[in-house]
Amino acid sequence: MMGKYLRKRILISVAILFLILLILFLLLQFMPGSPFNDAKLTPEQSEALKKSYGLDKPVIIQFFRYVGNMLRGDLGVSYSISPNTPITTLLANRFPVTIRIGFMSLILGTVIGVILGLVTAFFKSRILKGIYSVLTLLGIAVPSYLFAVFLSWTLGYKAKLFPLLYDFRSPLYSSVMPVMALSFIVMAVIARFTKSEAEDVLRSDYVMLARCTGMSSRTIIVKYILRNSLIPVITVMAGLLVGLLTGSLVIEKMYAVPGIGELLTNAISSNDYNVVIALSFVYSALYIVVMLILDIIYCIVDPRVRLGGKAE
Amino acid sequence: MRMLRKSIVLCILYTFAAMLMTSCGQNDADKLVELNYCISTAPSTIDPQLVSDTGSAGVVVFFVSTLYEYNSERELVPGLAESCEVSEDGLTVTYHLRDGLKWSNGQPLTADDFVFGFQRLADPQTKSNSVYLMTDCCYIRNSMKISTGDLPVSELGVSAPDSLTFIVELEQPCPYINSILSLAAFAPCSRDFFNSCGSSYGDSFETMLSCGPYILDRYDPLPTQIHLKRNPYYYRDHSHAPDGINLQVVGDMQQAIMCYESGMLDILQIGGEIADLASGDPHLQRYSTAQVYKIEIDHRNKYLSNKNIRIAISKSIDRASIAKNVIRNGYVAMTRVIPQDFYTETDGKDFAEDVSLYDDTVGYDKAKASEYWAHGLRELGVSSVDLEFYCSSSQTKIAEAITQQLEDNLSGLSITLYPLPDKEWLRRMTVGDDYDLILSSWVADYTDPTALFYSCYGTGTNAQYCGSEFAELVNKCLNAKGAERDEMLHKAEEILMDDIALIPLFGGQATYIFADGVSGFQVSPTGAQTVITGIRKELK
Repeated sequence: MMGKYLRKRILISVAILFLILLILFLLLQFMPGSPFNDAKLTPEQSEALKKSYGLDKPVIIQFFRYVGNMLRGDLGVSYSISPNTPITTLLANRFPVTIRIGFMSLILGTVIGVILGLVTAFFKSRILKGIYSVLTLLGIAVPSYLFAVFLSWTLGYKAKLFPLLYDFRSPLYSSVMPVMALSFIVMAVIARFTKSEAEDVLRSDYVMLARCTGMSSRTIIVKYILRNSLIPVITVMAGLLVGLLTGSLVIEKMYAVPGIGELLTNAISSNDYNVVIALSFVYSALYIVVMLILDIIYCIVDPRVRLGGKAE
Repeated sequence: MRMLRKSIVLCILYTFAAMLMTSCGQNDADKLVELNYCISTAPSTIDPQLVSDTGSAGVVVFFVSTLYEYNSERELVPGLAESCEVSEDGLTVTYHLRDGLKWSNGQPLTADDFVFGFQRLADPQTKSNSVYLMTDCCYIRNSMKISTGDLPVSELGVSAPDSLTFIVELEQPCPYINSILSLAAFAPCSRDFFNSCGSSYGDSFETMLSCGPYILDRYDPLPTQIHLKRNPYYYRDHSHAPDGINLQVVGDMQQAIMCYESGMLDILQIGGEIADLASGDPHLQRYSTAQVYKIEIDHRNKYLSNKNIRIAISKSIDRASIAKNVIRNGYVAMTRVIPQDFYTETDGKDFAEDVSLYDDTVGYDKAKASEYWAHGLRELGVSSVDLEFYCSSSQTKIAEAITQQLEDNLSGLSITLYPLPDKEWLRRMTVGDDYDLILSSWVADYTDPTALFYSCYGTGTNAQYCGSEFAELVNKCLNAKGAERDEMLHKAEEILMDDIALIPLFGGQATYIFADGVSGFQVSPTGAQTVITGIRKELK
């Protein structure tokens, strides 16, 4: 059952990726201008440049040539934002940094969020509830950019606790502020989900029974509440992770992190078609793979979830 | 389950412990003098022949030298060349290289390296966006046909009869050739080293040689940090220069200011409101550049073909007020095509010494603008005029201010403003027939007035409207020399301004702030290059 479902999902994923690639190719044809220095080059020189990159060929030929190269692991070269540099080189340099910072933000945000959610749900303290409300409201309402400015001003500039910029010589230490800035929203979302799930679990019959039997609070939290609250949290984490990997542009720019966020915006404004296509494709693939993994995890974590539609 | 829990706890503990340990292990200040220089965008390339943006030019200048270079006094002086001779007909320029020049790997730098570098620039296989400098600005023999693939690179008009002599043959005289050849695209390239790197040339610091004051020792494509160390083979004594340069990319201005205030950055270019706020600071220095804002006009438009209408538009724009209140970056109002401190005449005088020379025709005067406007409307037999005004989306604020002033000052004028993405704006500006008015921002590539006349002759946007007298004069300028040429250039500017062929607006300024102890920084007259050979940093 599982094997059949997986095969079906993978086939659909490949078809979706192929379609995304085709749409991207067509859309980029409508973008005004070219990747080259149109204002100063003569039309003949612009044509010669297009020809040398194969951009003079019909779109459909360019498309199938691109797909062929991609299957061989060649994503082409950049036209303008880093002329003639293979895109695989650009991605290889930048992806690990984005992924590391994304994962660290996710772990930090999740740990604090789960603790905050559980504690607020379990101990019915007004002070705790107030702290929880302020933190989660700020985390969701305040853009990470503003939070980053606040961190830079307080922890970086005034207290001089952490460096204001990313430094390759101390990648971990200099990642502290970007990680904190990005983890704030993760913390807020996770805390809200955990609290609401934990409150449901707390009201359930089995927790009441456990309490009646005299089980300690610690055992109840770890054994019942934590485990049962985590299923929806996993769902949210997947979406947050993809968001962190694709949407940290502002934070990357602010802390001079050599990640891939800025690469995409620069490529779009410079009409660097190959970079735009490669990054969009990688993002799409990432999203599809994460969602696929999530479905499988569901199936493992909660045996009531059946893949493939029919219940056994 | 227990193992998993343990692993998660260990992972989190490790992360925090590593953060703390690294924070405790920060080194004491290095004893070497390191200059921390902030750049706002990562260089797109370090291959000199591919450099076409100011971001890359600002980095390459640290490790590349050219035949002629700008010094700290903004003068063009011999660089890798010791001297040059121009033939009587102006078509052959012979450069005599300095003796004993070396690449950073210790190999001799010869005239053949210039031949190869120039051939690379012309070669369509190099895919350089700067090839127009060779074909359209200094007219090196056969460069146009080579750039479009119609001739082999071996046919390029460059040769090296011996290791110290480099000859450039031109299709027409180019009085400002040394200024163009000071650009990184005309840097030498070691044939042997290039061949040994293959397709990876310029991909990393290991695949790039230096002939300038510094050597790259850290670089990845599109980096946020670059490091350079002093080049022991540099042809000049630069023992007083900083031992190393840290180039730090900071895209966010607020963050950059905080870094500067914290002592992490020594040199920082600032702009916009921050430059305005910092004015008066003793650490702040402004440099005039050849970035010029102007409005290009479609002279075929039935309203704009009327000279009185054009004068009225030009005289309705209060440039000084927009520069002060909208741009807020030290930009200066301009009522002529050539900015101040850009071109020095043969007699040592600034070409644009008299900034108000064309004020009567071009300068702001609300009352006179209304008179010209009324006169123009009468001639056209209309009572209202509708125009389409285009600008780049990054210049929307300036264009809005201009539109507001025009509509307020000229009754019956209605302007529709279209902010465009940069690429589309560039396309319209280049094609020259998809607008009534377009806000144009142009940076001169070389220090000669013809660089700023570009849109009005040759293949430029308004070439067909600016009249044969103007085109003829610019062509004559190529063959003229000295005071006679300066006179022709003045006449050419006069034709453009008398006819309001375009509407000059503002002249650019580059604003920098420097940490205590940093001195000797300069910007070339075009503003496109930084002059770093005079930079000094004293340890506090």
